[in-house]
Amino acid sequence: MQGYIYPNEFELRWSLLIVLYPYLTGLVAGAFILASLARVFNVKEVEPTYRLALLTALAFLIVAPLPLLAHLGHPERSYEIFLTPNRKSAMAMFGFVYAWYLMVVLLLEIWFDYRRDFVLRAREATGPRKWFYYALTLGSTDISDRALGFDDKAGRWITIIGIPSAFLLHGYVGFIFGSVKANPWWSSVLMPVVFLFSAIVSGIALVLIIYIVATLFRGKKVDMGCADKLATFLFYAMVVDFSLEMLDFIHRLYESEESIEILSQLIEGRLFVSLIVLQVVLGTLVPLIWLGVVSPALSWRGTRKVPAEVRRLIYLGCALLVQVGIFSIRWNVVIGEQLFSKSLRGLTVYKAELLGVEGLLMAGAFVILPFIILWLLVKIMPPWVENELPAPPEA
Amino acid sequence: MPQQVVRLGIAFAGLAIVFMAVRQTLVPDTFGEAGHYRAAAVDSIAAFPLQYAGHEACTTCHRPITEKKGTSNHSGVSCEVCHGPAAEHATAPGSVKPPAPRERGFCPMCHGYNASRPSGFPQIDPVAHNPTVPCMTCHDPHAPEPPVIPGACRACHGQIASQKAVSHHATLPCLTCHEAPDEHKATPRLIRPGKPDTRDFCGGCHAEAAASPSHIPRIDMSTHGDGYLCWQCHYPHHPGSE
Amino acid sequence: MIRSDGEVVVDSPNGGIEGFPPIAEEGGTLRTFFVPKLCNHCEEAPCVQVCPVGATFITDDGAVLVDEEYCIGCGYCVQACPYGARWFDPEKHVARKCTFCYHRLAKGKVPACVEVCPTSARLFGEVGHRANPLARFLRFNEIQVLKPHLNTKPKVFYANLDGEVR
Repeated sequence: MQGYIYPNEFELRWSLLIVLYPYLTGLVAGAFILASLARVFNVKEVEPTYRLALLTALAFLIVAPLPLLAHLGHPERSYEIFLTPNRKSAMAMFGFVYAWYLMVVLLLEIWFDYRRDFVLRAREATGPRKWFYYALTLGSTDISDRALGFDDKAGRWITIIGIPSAFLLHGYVGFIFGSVKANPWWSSVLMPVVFLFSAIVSGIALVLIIYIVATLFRGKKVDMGCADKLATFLFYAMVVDFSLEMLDFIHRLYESEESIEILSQLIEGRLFVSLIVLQVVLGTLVPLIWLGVVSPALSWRGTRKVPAEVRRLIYLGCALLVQVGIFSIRWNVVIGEQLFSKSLRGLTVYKAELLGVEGLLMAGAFVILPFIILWLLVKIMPPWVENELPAPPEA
Repeated sequence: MPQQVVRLGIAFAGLAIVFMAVRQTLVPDTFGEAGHYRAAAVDSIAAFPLQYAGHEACTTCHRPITEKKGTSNHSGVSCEVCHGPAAEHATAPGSVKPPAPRERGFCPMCHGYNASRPSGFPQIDPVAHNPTVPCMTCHDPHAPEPPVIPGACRACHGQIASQKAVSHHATLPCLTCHEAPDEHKATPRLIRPGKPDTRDFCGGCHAEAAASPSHIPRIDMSTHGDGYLCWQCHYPHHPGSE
Repeated sequence: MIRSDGEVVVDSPNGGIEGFPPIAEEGGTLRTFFVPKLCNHCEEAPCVQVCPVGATFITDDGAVLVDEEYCIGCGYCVQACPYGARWFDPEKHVARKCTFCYHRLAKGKVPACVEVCPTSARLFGEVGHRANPLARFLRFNEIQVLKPHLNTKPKVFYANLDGEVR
């Protein structure tokens, strides 16, 4: 503690779990936007990751509200947010944005995309598995060419609706923070936009990691055309994201409002490691340079010089660094805000506890859980290209 | 209509019905009656028990003492400031007695010297002021008067006195510069002390021709700071005064 | 306390419950004073705006209250209050705040802080009423509110507020 802080500011109300929430939600939005690249914008190279990206988005979307729930003082009352939402509250709308995105966008798109698989699997399997897949079809078992054509068209339209929805989902998370006028560190119109682009960055990087690692584990060959394309999009998204962050930073510095003094103390002291070292240098500049040199983002020539194995490793390393960087962004937003007093006269400290509901172990569990769910989803609905089910024998 | 749409329609309709049913049963009865909140909550907050009975409650039974206090310097100090929250005593006067603080540490909560308190508010240094004697020995809390009308101004003007004590003017008594009628001590806010109202007053020591000791700084009264009284720029009590 | 070199020192040891030991006067004092801070019961209360479920609200008579049985404990209001006036109850796991002693007002009494202020530095009255101590106070003083640029329209008014107070 340093300077003067209000008595209610010694302990941080929003802890590690609230850092996780925008982080996980961002991964959802980013993964979905990546999927839409294949579907709507017809980027053929990233096709192998289309289904994987959808399932990743679903797995993380299921987990995203859990840290919020665990953090509530009264989780058992959380249903109130659906029953009596305060229309003026940014947070109240979360339930509906979330429900819209889960039910209308993600589940529907996955359903339309996988319906043929469900039907075929229900026909092949026996016993409980048969019933399970049959339940997933919701009884809609028509897989004539006409029906499949409709599936495809519906899926396409849902993706088109899904892109603004994904923007909404994460832009909105940024709005929850950016609209708090009481807090100069949060209050910024750029917040939703920065959140959105950092979400895209983190989502692409995550799918890249999962794709490379899962492919290696399955003993298959990584489609370098796909990996190169992902790395290229990652590079572009990072450039936009970093420019926006710098714009926000320079804008604050130039306007130099009453809070500038305490905020510079914050950045130079408490947030130096997580903001300057992790977020900017390791999480942004280092991967940007590597991707710029190695990936085909800037020139095709760079790619040819580096053997595929090395390139793959560099992509993986960059994507991991990006995850660290994006997590630091969330940390700096959520924790950073609470480290200085609203009296603008002092700083407090935050030490994450190890055990307990808001501790490191719990947070770790919330990071691992989506991967377990993803593993299950992949078991039930294999997303890999070579698992494409053959057309059914003519009946 | 395609089969898929029909099936999805059924599933979504089912969910919508469940949601409406849950909403119907779980929203509290009084929610939304007065605004977007549970109106019953206002009543339950309004029903919190009282801790402080309020000064009117004391007057009912303790008239002589409240009347005495009412005309004293403590007239604005409500009984429960010192005697603590007494709502229980007011409802069951026989069984619950409010405490009467007598220890020396209590009165300095307000009357201990603190530079942030307004000058003129009676403040003492608890260490130097008659140590070990309980305050009540000399001061009646229901009609607090100084046992002797303060001989020294510092009884009330502690902040100024402590500054002056280390300033260049340390040896000058307050009354050298301020006129303070005796009535000021009895009714400090009605009768106010005076301040020097001419430049020549300070010139008595600081003018070039003044008959004062030679180490006292001199100034050319005719050219320096024309139009202002001296104390409008120089704070005479301040140790670093220039 | 504002020191002669312009440095501002603020302290409220243990909330001031055990009194205020003087701050060391190194370097000389320019001005020094007390400023009580409490919930401002804003007309445009940010805490009420952000509450997702309607567990905090402004009553018809203007007090900002928390429904402890309906609060889900998300803490958004604690973040949204510019005055640091809300706190989280570690036992009840809900947001808590000054109620303006709503239970006393309901019985026709003034808030406890007004009742026991020994120097009558606090006044209480209905805003907009023409004949009460508050109206006189507003008539005869130059009035400030805290953080006016946030447009929260506080109902706690200060006279002679120092510019350094945030």
